[in-house]
Amino acid sequence: MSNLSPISQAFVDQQGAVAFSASAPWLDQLRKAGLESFSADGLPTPKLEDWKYTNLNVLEKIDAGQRGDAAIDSTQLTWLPTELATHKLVFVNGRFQSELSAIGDLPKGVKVLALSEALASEPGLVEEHLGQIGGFEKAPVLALNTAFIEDGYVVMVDKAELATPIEIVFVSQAKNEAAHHPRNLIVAKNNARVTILERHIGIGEGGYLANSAFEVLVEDGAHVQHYRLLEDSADGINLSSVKAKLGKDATYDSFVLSMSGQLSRNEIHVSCEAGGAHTNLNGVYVGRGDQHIDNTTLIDHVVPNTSSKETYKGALDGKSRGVFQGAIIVADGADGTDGRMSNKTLLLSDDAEIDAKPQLEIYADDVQCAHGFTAGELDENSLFYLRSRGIPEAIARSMLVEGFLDEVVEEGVAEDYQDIFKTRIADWMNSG
Amino acid sequence: MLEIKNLHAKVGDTEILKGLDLTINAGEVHAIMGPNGAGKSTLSYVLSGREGYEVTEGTVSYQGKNLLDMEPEVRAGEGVFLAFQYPVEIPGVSTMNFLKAAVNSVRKYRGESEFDAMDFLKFVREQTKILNIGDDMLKRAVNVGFSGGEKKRAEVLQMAVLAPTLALLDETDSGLDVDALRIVGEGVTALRSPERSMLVITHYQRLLDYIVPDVVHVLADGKIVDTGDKNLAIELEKNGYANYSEAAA
Ligand SMILES: Nc1ncnc2c1ncn2[C@@H]1O[C@H](COP(=O)(O)OP(=O)(O)OP(=O)(O)O)[C@@H](O)[C@H]1O
Ligand SMILES: [Mg+2]
Repeated sequence: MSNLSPISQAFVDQQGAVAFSASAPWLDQLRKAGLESFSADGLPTPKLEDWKYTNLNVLEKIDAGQRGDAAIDSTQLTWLPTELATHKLVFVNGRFQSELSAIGDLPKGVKVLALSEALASEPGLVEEHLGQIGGFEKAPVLALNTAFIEDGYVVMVDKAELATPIEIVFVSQAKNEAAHHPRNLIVAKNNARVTILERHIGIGEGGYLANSAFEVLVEDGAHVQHYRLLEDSADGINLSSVKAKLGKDATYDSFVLSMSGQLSRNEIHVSCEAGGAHTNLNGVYVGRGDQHIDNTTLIDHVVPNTSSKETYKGALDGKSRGVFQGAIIVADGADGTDGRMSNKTLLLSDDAEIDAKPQLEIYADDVQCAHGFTAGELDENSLFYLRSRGIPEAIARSMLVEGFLDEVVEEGVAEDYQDIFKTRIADWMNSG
Repeated sequence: MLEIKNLHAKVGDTEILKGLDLTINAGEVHAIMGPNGAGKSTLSYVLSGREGYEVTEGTVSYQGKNLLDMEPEVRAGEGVFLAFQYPVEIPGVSTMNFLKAAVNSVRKYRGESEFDAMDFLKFVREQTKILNIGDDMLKRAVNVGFSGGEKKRAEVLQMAVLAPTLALLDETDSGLDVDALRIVGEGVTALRSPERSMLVITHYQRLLDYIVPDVVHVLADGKIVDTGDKNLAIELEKNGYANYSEAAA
């Protein structure tokens, strides 16, 4: 065994001490495989190409064995407008809270439940999918999640359409430097349609690690809208890994608004594995103080005639730092691929910083791929234009920043849910 | 209303305005014509307070106050409005929200009550009808993807809703087709009033058929080099600026 850092070693040691609520030979095996993979090198360091700009040293404060309380004072929770949220699942420190959840009536072909329940009621289905998409080779954070698989959400939709979204709330209790590792599964098949509105919130003051992982399987004309709102508390650390696999004519829309926490790294890997597969990856990140926000994406175009469209925009103030790493890989023979990626950042202060790294690897001849990256200050012309109309400078600045960011919301989020994100962005601007 | 005395201004190290004098009384419409690069837009930017335009000499008094001391938004509140030669595109901000923010900002400045969304819509629709502007344009982002003529009409709409006392129109006629020119010309003329002064910068006499000026000036090489009545514009259209090149030199 190599020399692990104290915190990596602590995770390895503590894993053995956890009394997991569910156990099955295949599941124990999966956790073990995750643990072994993680144990090889431990947490990633900036020496790894993919982790050059994000240093997980901040995890030293985390107490690897501390899992936090599973219950919480529910008066501290906030909800989305009730007309939007019909099926609700709440997780506190990674564990399902049935009293706070309201799954409601589900049409035939739709399953929405906690992983801890699914492991008991649908073990076959879970075994069929869990760990199948989320290969953790060279993904130590995902391996760590795998070693601690216990709870999370499971959404499975087959030949059905869920008219109203599923609201998922992951509550991290900012206390005791606890760590939790929710593992989630989304499976949509046969023209199924589902929208998931996911919120990650921190309550209280203190540090924690929320390390979640998502396996997303979209097949045969199915369409998944996966919208996420990262609202961690000031000292919270949020790591997440999404692995999505798209089949024929499948669409995976991902939108992520990262707006708080001490450090977040949101990694999305989409693999387009059959013709007609399409993914829209969009995101907005805002930072101030010394927040660190990392969005790292990888889109694999494996077969001919698949497409992707990706736009991430951010506004960084104070001494905050953003990272955007966007890779598009077009495999040999994947002709007809259409891949577009863009990343734009507004730097609102001299000390804010963005590291943007595009990576296009194209091994096919007949493809359309484009990427554009910009970073800069607010446009003086635009600012003068607004001020010349009587709009005070501070308001003019807010309007420009919000307009800049709202564009991605309009592009990446279905109309009914845009206000959720626009309101958060406006609140962020006003709280500066 | 507006009194400009010996105005010198530079952009970077280049002096553009070189001792400009101009007085506009309340209710008057003045036209400024002049060759490309003479400093017409520069004058409009100096009057509206754009950064990067440094006044090195001279004074500008507006309704008895020192205009040059005011921030751009204060000037707008005080009633100065510039219709830009090149209106700026603002992605992500809807024209409607922009107009509402602008109108409510100046109303607040002027001590008037702010409009709520419903009242504002009514108020704007009165003007859009006159200017032949559809609701779809209000929903779109400010100037984004607008045709040249649509941008100019949007400028006049802004002028109408902001009710300025001094309107500076910088080539508001350029890029307009014949019908749009008439609509804009009539729209602007409808806004003429004894309390409202206008400074109309144009290269073409035809706009002045609609907006008949009280006074016409020639601006060349950073100075007013000639002043006359509306017939001066007709003369200029015939003879060009050749006569002024020595005067300017
Ligand atoms: N930012 C700048 N930097 C350097 N020179 C500038 C700048 N802005 C304007 N100028 C110069 O100042 C001069 C006057 O420009 P201005 O735009 O005021 O002319 P104008 O009279 O409006 O011309 P037009 O009829 O073509 O609109 C020009 O020579 C122009 O190149
Ligand atoms: Mg000009």
